[in-house]
Amino acid sequence: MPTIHMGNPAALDRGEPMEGERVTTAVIPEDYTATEALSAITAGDGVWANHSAASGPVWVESDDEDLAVAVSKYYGCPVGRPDAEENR
Amino acid sequence: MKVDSGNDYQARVMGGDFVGITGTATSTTATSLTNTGASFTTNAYIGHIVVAGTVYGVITANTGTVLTVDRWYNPATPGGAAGSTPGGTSAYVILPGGAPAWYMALTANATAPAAGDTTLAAEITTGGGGLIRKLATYAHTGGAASYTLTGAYTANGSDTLPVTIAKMGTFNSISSGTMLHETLVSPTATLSASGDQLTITQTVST
Repeated sequence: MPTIHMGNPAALDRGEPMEGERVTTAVIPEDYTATEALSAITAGDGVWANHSAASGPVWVESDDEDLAVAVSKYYGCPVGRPDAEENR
Repeated sequence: MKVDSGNDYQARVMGGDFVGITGTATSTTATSLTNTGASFTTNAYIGHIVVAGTVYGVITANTGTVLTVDRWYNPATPGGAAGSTPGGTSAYVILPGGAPAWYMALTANATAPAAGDTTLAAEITTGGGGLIRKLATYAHTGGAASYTLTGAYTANGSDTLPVTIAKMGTFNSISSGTMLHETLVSPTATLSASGDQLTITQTVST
């Protein structure tokens, strides 16, 4: 099942703010269509809205390149963790 | 709300209720595994996973010699089609803990949840429909004392529309199993035509 990691600069835990930048991880069922997968992350009652007060992640990373690109384009954030880029 | 059966499930999964049990089957079907030489404690393994060959099932009942499962799952695609029935003389192991409660179901029934509920009243089960019980997206933020399950549904031509979704439940099986949570949807969501989509999230405290 595709897994996506998202840099979360304003994480929420049951609606309460958490300190520091966190990583939110989502595991998408393999039988979801591409539209359903993106919706599960980005919809008004989707993953991101329930895990963050920020308008979008600051980076995304996934073992499913298409999903990573779709979420990246939706939120306008880069694919890949900043620390991973620094280590290249 | 987390219903009573959900509390029982959580205690067992997180605390553990017995060590693993191993053996060799004497026969199998699409929904059972039999070991005529076993002496299982009746219904002691409900909710546990039994692994046989390369598939697993969620135990829904057991006698002294027969484990009844909801179906056999391909571990790589637990939300997809059923896995193949394991060989009739497969080695098996009943795992400690329990199956993940990552399936979400919907209903138009708006009755308030009750702690003693064990099923989702009038659950939508339309064959081939897009609103039937399905695997949800699991998500967790590092360090948070919670996680979420998000179901993304698309109505199709098999569904009876329009329908107003009023309540959802989470389960440890794609077809039967134990209900953990039962939550009213607020606001309700009406799907009127094929192609209409609904995304809904259950937040769970850990």
